Amino acid sequence: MRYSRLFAAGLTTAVVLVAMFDWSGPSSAQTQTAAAAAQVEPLGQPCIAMTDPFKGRMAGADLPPGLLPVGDDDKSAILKSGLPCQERVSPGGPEAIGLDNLQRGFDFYSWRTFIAMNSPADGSPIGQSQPDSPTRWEDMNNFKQLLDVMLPADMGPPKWPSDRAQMEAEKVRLMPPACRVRYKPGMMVVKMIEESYNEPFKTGPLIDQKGRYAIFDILMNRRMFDYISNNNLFSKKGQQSRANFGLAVDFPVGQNPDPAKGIAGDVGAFMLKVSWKILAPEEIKARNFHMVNALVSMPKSDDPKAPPPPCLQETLGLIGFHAVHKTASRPQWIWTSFEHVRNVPDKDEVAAGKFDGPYSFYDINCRDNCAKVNATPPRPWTPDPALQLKFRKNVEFKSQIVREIPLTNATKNMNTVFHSMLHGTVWENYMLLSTQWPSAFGCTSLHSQSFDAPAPKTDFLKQPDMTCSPAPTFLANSTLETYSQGDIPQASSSCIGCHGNAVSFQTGSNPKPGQVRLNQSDFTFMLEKAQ
Amino acid sequence: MADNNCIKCDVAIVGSGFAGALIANELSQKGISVVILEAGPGIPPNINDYMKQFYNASAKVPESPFPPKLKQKDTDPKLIDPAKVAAGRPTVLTLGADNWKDPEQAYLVQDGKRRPFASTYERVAGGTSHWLGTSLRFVPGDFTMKSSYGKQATNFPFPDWPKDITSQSLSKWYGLAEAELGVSADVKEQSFLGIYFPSTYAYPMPKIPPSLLDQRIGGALAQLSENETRFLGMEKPVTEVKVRSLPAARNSQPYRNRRACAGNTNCIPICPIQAKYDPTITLNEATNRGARLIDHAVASEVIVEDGRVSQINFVKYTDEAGPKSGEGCVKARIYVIAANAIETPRLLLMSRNQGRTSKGVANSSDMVGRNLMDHPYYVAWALLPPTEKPVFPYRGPLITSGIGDLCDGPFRAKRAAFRVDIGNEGWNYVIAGGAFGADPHVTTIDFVNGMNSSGLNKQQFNQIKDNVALFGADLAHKLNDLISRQLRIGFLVEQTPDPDNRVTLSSKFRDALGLPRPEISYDISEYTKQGIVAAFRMKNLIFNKLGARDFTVRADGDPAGFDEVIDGQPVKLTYGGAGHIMGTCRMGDNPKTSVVDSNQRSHDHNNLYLVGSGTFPTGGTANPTLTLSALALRTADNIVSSLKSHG
Amino acid sequence: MSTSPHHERSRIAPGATIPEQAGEVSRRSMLAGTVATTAVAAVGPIAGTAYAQGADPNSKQDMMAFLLLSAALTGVHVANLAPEFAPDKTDVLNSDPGVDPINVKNEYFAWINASDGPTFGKLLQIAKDHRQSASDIINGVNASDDTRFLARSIVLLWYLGSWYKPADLKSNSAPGAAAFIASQVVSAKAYTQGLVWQIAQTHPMGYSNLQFGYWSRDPDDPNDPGSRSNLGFITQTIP
Repeated sequence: MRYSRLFAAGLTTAVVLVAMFDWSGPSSAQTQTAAAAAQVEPLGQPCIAMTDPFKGRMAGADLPPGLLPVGDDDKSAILKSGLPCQERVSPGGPEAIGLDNLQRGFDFYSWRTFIAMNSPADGSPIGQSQPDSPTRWEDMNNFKQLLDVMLPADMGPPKWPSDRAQMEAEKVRLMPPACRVRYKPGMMVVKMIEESYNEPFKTGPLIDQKGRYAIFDILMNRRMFDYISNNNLFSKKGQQSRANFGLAVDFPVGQNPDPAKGIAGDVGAFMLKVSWKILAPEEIKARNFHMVNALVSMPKSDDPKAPPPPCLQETLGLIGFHAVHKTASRPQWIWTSFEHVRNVPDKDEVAAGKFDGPYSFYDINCRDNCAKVNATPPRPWTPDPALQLKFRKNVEFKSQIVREIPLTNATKNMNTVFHSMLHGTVWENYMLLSTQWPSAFGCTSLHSQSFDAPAPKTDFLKQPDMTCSPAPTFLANSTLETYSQGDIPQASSSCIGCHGNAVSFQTGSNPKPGQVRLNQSDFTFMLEKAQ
Repeated sequence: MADNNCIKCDVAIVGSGFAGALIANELSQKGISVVILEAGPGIPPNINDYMKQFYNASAKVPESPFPPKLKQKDTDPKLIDPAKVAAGRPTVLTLGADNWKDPEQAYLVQDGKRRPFASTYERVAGGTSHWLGTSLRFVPGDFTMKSSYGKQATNFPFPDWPKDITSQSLSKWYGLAEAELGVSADVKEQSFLGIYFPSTYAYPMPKIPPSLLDQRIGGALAQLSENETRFLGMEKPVTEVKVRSLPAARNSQPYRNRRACAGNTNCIPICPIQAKYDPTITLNEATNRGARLIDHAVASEVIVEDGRVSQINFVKYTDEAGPKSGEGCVKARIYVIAANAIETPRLLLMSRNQGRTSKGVANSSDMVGRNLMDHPYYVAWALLPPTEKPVFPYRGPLITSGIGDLCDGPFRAKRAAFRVDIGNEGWNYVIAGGAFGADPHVTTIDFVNGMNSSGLNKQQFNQIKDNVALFGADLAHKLNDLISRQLRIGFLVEQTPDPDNRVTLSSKFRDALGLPRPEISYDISEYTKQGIVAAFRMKNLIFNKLGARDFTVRADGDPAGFDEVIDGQPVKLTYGGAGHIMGTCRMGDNPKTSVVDSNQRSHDHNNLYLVGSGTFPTGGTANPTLTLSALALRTADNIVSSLKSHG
Repeated sequence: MSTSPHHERSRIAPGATIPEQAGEVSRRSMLAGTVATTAVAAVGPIAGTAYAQGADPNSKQDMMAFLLLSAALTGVHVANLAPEFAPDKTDVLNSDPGVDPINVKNEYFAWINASDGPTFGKLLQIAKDHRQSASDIINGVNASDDTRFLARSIVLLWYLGSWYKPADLKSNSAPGAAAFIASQVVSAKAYTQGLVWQIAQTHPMGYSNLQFGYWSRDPDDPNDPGSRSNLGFITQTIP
């Protein structure tokens, strides 16, 4: 008997009925005015499985002829298909190689995910969205920021009510006082900690052409939140409690409906990591970024005697977007990364001198005066409250970033197709980098829900590789893994490779020889943020 | 050097290893301006290049990931001549019988008249990051060798440490060092042999779980007879020897934004996920707080005027091969030399001040460079019989547990103490005494090519026939069968301080910056040899209890080898280096016989501190890193007070 | 170890992902008749070597022959050498070697071909001629020195990720010889894909994809049908 505990009931295969409730939101962004209640389905319903209708091979240098424009029916179906609950992929298909067919399936699934997430929260179609239309993932009913979950002990357990008024009250309760005075409903509030400006494992901040810090944020959906909340994982004390000694953390999976097996279908666990740029007035005017009116609370000082940090009002522009989804067939999660098309050039473009700027994190015109490519900024890195998220008083330093691993042709072609469908919206300025997925099917399927395996559904004891051979082997976003790009095993950025090392503060591993007590945290570093 | 062009700061530190980084960090936190001179390159944004170099190295020695490169091409038979390297360092690759005394290959100049000094270090930001991670506190007896074990003896070679350094007085600083490094251990388990912990103390993280071999050896030593253990000479009869987790600066939980260990089995030379602490972590904190790191800057002379240090000159270079590209100097109120126990005395001895300090700076005692110590490392390896369950090496950190209970006792009046390492990496670097390369390569080649470098390719062990060459499933099964039963242990043995074991400057051999290279004269004493003899007996006990077959051999021509007769039998013994370089700027209360006081401040120059394990008057058996870190933090505190009181 | 339903090799995954099969050694039922033109195509031999007598890196048959040869010599299942391998039911030589994310087989093929194309060609022919029987391949390989020692280099390449020259192996092949043989690490990737570590139920030093604390527990036996991670690892038979 390997595991002494089955986690709380019914999260994975239970039929999930999500209540429809009032939502009073505007169709334009900046403030929320009382508006007519609209019945809008939250993200994740219904579960529509779909494969791509595009004809021909995308893995070559050129887009197959006749592929564009995408037919109206197909376009409509895709843009409205909603958030996939599970991938639908196959090694069979138009590509010459099985792996390419699978990758294409995942890339298509990623675009569907991106579109569903970024569709306007008011329910209108993405084709009608404005750059500043609040998106569905930004809506407090769909995703919650990590810092609103991993609360300090004196703030009590985190809450995620189903009533919007109560959700709003909880958001305000957790807001720093300096932000409360400036807050108006509808604003995003970003509370910064070190990881909000310093990339994972303290690899460094990212500084734009105006000398300002890029800002990072992490969010989870209700399924993840419920699991954390129900299992008391939001605090160190809870993680280390006796009740959790035998818990093998195992977030709920997404799954397509299967009436024959009595599976209703559910979206499962989703987590997001996003990166923002502080937009200058001319950038706000140019409307090339998805924009959010935000309050940004700067990081607290280490010095307990220091005054509370300032809360700044900024217009943030989306520059990077990771969406990570756990599904029944890929319990190692599926890792999707998007970024703005004008963040950085890739190294082939730099070598050829073929730029498509201006870029947010690369200066084409610096000539002999360029900062070293992909170098971290000079220290100190800690933002100075007096400078309000400017890195230095004057713009003495700007990050000079180049993408080390260019996009594949297949992904570029997929991007071209989707850009054509999103033409006229700000979303054609975002591109998919790739999707990383566990490719060794024999490995990934072991103990996954496909096989009616006993709990836990995800198997962390697999050897020799519990990451199940991620494809592609390496993946890095130029804004989120800026300084770990490369192709060196273990050292260079690989979503699954790195997240496989994530553990919680649970007590154990193996207090008695042979006794299995895991502290792995199911591919998320969220649990280590518990206080 | 025009001194108005010197860089100015409050405190200048030479060397950015453990001691240098910790002191820089403490001082920067207090707003003190710090400049660090680092001989090697600075900290890269990621370890991609280190890992790439490591993976591609055919000889994965501790130095393999780090600059400067050892060979032009990995496949070259010879190393780059150290005369052509700007800031070179010793390497395991030049500890062979054929090259340890060849100054055109070995950085440390050794003429071969005595025994080889077998330890190495790095010269790069972060210092000797290739360390294992072991973070043991000294036992109380380690600090009081003379008064505990040598009171009556006239020529007892060990002094006591200064009176104000004891297990108890250092405890506060050990705790602070353990917090900065992030040490994983269990206080109850570490409270043996009188090691002092405050009653409420808890290590930052829970202990690292033991490996299968740890568990096996622990079981094998749980019930012993007094006859079997009498040779140990412990205070009380020994009927059980405990295997304890080794406290380690290796995360067992997320700690300060670093991941927990995933058992990459690569601590030495480099942890691919930085679950093992290395000083670049503290260095980054220090520079974030305003400390300034100047890389590719080799301190070349400490200038003394009117009994105080007035500046430190350094040489700059841009290319690994040199030559020098410029010069510089730094002026400070206080100077700290943290360049390790070979490079620190080298710098002090180089600093002649145009004859005013002809014996070197801080050297009125003539002790600078003397009393060079290591932990001579006796290693042994064995094979479990097919009737025993395998122990599956190459899993987990390189070492997770050890035996420390035997490192103190009345026997220390007569023979050196030892600690036991239990290796989790099988025969990786020990196979055949290192004569034919590393494992699993050697064992694999044996069974593919019908050779017997390992000693295993005999019918008695492979159950097939002598010198068999296999293909296919037979090969795979056989390798699984044999490798899974390989094990190794190691003994860190205390070395006596001996003024004739010393670092001096080579009169003939230089580096590519024109600076004289360190010359070493070294041997091990009878006291230490008897400690190795006791280790040999302990090894026999352990292997017998495991039912394991001893495969320990001494490679032909091993320059460290020595022969003993034990229980009437001739035995070939040897030692390796543990990488623990100590003693060359020893601490003491008496300025005539020591270089620094208990605050690691030079007796001769009151604005000069010498830090690191070079100040250890005795070495004990524990890895010096935690103790030198504790002392560094204590010294930082002393520097802060000193600056405050001098305005 | 308990037997559990998901270790049945023939079981097909129900539900969502269609038409993927699971747990099968034969992962893909599709026949790939086309040549693999992938971004990771094998590098051809150096100009000047006897290409005509060497192996063709663009030939799926040659790649399959290489995989069969390697499986016979290493004793490791083809499915582990080429994780995306899809067998042809009629003639294994017509199987699709597949392209997997790491694709170390292509790197090795190119390396061996560049080292000694003609002898490599001979080895592939032996594999093609005896593709039903690992022992016949081994006997064929052992029949002469050139094939025997190149085969040994190939085994060491798969096992260790390093290249030991056949000539060096030969000059040290007196029975019971004890010697250091120089080698070259083929690449960082090759080192991390070395098979001897998996055979020893562990991982290459410096490359672990396992969980904290795993070393405190017994390893899985990759050959144990009841074990969690298996698809079968060591094999007497091919493919």
